[in-house]
Amino acid sequence: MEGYHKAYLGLGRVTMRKKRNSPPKMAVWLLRHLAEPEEILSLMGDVEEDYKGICSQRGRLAARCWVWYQMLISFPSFCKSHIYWSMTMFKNYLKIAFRVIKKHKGYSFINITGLAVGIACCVLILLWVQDELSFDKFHKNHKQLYRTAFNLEGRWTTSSPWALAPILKREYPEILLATRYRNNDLLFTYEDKNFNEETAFVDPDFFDIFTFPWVMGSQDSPFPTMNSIVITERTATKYFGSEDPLGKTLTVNNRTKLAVTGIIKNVPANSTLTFDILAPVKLFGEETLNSWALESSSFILLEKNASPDALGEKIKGITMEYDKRTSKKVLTGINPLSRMHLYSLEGGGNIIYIYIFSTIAVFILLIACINFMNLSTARGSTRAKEVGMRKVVGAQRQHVIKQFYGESLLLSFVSLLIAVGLVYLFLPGFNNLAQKSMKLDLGSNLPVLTGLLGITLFSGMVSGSYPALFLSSFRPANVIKGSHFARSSKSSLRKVLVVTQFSIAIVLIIGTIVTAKQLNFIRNKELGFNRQHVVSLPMNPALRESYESFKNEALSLQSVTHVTSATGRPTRVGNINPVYWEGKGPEQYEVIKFIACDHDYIKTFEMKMAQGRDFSRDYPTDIQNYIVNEEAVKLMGFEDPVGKLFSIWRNEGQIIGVVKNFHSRPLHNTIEPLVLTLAQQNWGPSYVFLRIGPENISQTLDNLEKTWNKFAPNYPFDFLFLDEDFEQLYRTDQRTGTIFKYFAILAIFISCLGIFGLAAFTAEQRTKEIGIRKVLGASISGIVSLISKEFVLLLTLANVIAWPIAFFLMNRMLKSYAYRTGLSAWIFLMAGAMAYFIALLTVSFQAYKAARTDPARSPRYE
Amino acid sequence: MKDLDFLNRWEEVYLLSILELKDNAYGVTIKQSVSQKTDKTLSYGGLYFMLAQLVKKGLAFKTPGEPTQKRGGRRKYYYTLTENGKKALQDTYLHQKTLWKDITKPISD
Repeated sequence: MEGYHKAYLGLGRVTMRKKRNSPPKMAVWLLRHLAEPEEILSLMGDVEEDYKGICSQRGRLAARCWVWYQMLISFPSFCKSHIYWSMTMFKNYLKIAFRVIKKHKGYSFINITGLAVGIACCVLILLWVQDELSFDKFHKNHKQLYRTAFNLEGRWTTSSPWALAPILKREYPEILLATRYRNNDLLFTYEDKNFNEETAFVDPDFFDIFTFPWVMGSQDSPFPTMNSIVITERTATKYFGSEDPLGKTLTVNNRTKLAVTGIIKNVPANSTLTFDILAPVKLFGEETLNSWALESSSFILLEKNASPDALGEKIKGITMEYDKRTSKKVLTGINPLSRMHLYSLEGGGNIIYIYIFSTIAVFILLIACINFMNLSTARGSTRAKEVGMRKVVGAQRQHVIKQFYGESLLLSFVSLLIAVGLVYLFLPGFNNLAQKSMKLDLGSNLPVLTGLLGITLFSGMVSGSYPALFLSSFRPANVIKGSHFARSSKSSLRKVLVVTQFSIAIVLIIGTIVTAKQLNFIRNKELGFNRQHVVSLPMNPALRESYESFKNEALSLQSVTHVTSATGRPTRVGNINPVYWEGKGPEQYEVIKFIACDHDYIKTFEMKMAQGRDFSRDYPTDIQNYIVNEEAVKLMGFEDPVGKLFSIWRNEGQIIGVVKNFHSRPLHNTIEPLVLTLAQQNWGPSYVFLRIGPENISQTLDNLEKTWNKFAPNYPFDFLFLDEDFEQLYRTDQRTGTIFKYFAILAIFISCLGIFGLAAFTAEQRTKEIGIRKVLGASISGIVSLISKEFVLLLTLANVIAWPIAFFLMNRMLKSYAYRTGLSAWIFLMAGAMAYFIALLTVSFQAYKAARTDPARSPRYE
Repeated sequence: MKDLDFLNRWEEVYLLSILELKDNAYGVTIKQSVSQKTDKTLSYGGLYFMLAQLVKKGLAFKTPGEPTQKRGGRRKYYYTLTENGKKALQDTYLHQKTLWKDITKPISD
């Protein structure tokens, strides 16, 4: 044993010594891997021959050095050679790919279109999401910006007391800057031009908190005097044209003169704060500014490292500390500016749309990818022979894999180009729909660019992977002998994909129907007042003085039936104030929204009284009395509310009547307690409302304008129909509905493209079978149903999967409305039926075509 | 201009070497010959890349010889010019001659 071992080792030594005479192993190994397989044998032979020659002449060391030197200088050539031959193969792959595209025009069209539409959809949604997320991010310090928020009795509001901001800045060192912000529509006049402008009243800190870029004027002293304003470029051009705007004077409400001291760039579209003109908040006067009325907003700039949570905890009780009149229930907090656009304080907000649309984008892309994959797999069998031939002449599996990945990447890149074209084509329409001004700037928009490339690569790789891995596994002998494998195997995957696709499409259809139904519900909901044929006009100082005579003159017009004025439209009541009533517990603190109006408010809007009486001129004391709604009665817990004492601030009066509940807020929210009071001087109405007859509306408006110009000649006749205003409340919902609809249509379209191609393929595969069946006497309808049967099953399955998912999602969506339609079974059935109808139409078209072919020709097929 | 599809200088040198070596044109000898003609150190990588391209262009072809012990039991692959290769050499030569025909004076002055 021992001896054998030694002998073995010795033998080993001998062989090793012998081997010493051959080139270094390492170099040989490298050579073997670097050189082209074709040339390896002769190349290594040459190297060995040379090596031996040098060995005998100059010794082994020199020879070894020579081999390594050869390796070194050969390396670039090896690389070059490798690239050269790959390019040659690539040319061949490309040629074949184009031939395949050309040969199967229908399939290629379906594939490319489907994917292009999918990608285009995705890009549009990506742009939209990007735009939504960019809101308020253009401020340099946007991460340190916060807005104050208040919790009144569990309800959140962003209105802030006037007096708060200065206190915050003074008392808390981590708050670097603070400003108040109050938005009003005011009439500005310059020479003969007058327009209503969105005016924001702010503290000078505003310009350091927010970084709206300056064009002219000095940022250090934005408001040198109390009567200074800063205006946007757009406003400057509007009033002054090409003149130098600095130092020019604008007149507000035909009274106060304000001098322009600065110009800033237009407020970008992705700013939540919008204004045309900035004016110093001091114009409101000391008394207002020191009050605790919740009539402005406050924004603060926090120190870089300050903890917002800690600050929130500290200022929690600040309102109660300073404002002696409120009870303990007002909590102060702060809310990051970056959340202002997408998140509402109560939770939810626009962010939900980001989620919904991103999901839809992913789904649509998924559907398109599924198509792509399905059709490529289905077509695999037709290319099996090619794969067989390639393998016979020396292709390895990896070459085939590379080829098919390459092909699907080529298709997906063609789709990408078309998609970019589609995006450019549809962006204006989409902008219009989404009320945005998005631009596709591929050069500078890195996220979209990487997104696009990512999507393309992803869809190319995913959809190419199955055919690549599947086809490359074919054994050449089997393929060329023509044994059958295409139909039976792997079609289960295809079925899964079709089911997924249609499930998504059905969910989207259901979503569309439900949103449409909800919008319809809103439109037809009994609001508790009549919003038709009511014209609303903004109140102004001139009109306020001559209001009674204006009212009489307007009423004398034949078609005007009622005239009233109020602080708020019944569709959106803003003012909120603490109230007191007879028998209220001392611990109970309530705020109620109120409308200050004139005597005819209830009549004009055709609201119904539940108890008591309307305001009347026969009772002069009504100026102190109140009408509440049913919800307020419930809140106060009165059995018989009429005659009870009630007060807002300190104006004590009686409840004289109860108005039936009407919807004073969007239908997302429940009806809130509300009180009506007669307008007094300090609560000047901001709107005039006129109920007009349904006939000759334009004639009526003309007459009204004449009357208007008589009483308020310097103010534009900016009328708005109340139902238009109502529609505006639901514009976001409507927009969502429309976008939903388009995406559902797209999803269905792409799914149908897929099923169309697949049906065509099935029919083609079964050409021989169909031919034989026909020869044996099968009818056309029999054959159509034979082919369609498979798809019916798949669709049924898709429905079964889609319904619960849709039910769950729609239920959640509807929950955001306090008043909503139900989810009835017919919606689901209808969506299902629609999917059946469209899909079967597509399939049977193909099936019919197949069934119609002459049976004499088909057996020769395959 | 399309017809001016002549060999480039490297191709010319390679083909000439193969022509010159007749029955003994294989890797080692071709490399020596080309090195001599161009006064440059060749790498085997470069050599075979060039030879493969010549084969692909149809200017030369290769035939396997017998395996020898000297080469670690590996075959030699002999390179021979094809008809196209010969013609290309011929054309290049003639073209060269025509080009230089009218130049009588020495270039350097």
